[in-house]
Amino acid sequence: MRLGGKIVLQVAGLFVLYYIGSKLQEWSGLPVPGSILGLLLLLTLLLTGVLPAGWVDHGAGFMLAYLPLFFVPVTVGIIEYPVLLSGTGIVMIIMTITGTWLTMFVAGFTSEKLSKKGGA
Amino acid sequence: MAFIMLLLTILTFLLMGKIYSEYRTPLLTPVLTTVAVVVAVLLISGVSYKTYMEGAVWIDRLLGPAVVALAYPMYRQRAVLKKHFLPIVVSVIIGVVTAFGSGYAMAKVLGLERELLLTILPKSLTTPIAVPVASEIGGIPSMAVAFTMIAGFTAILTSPLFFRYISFGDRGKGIALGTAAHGLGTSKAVEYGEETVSMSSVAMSLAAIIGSFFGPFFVWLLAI
Repeated sequence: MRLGGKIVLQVAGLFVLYYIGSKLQEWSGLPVPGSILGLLLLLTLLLTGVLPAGWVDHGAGFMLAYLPLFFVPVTVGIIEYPVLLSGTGIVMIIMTITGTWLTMFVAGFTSEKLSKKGGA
Repeated sequence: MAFIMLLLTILTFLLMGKIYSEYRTPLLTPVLTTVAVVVAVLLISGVSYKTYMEGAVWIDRLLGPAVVALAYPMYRQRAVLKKHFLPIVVSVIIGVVTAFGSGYAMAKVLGLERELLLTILPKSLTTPIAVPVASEIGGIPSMAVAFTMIAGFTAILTSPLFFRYISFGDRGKGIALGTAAHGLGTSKAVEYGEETVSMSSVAMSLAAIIGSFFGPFFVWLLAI
């Protein structure tokens, strides 16, 4: 029961941070999503030790356990875009596959080069 | 109807989660199977997406706070990042630039229309981040999820062959998977060892943060 209360309270805290992030975006005019500003705010609070990790661990764990559920509604929206099944959709799929390989290669290659130079 | 749709989504997801934990194959990833079931139900019953969302919006509203929660696992990865700070950060930055740059270049060559270009740009980022980034830059969030999944499955299905021809060390493999293919790539990293998993997780987190700033900047810079 005590754990349940902790989760509810910490999730409420995440909502507050999300709200602050959204307001921050509105106010600053930054083209970065409010949820990500909220993420950075929480990360900063944790890294500086202002907020002990024990104040968010259970709430974050709970939200992340169900995270995939939270983007189901938005994903179901593909129902309104039959373009995915057209020739254009196939071109986009090929672009995605090619882009993924290219990114894997460049990111991995850079890391290999830098690791060797560093000797570690 | 709205309430039924809300219930349908949650119950399907829980059921699909059970099925997934039974078989553990990436093709049964709960998001994928849940979306497939819900889309099938909508198509068969003729319920519109708008009607569906009247109920499902309650789930959708949790996405923002859940993105904030990602800060916690990132915080816990700080030791790994600190240990190899420069190589990781530089590799991920170059990787993110490659992901956006190659997407843009191919779209231009192939004459893809603007909205679709903006939709596939965030494909290398973790899904909960790709969604708000896509909507921020003017893409279609729901389709962005589809391409994010395709990027992830590309890594899952082709990385064994890819790494056979391009031999990276454990760290390079992790950086490659996490930067290009987020959580799905990281799930594949398990097969390459612990070092690869931790590198992939860190790369995914860093790519998410860097991508959410770089994406909008890139679109603005190139006046897409």
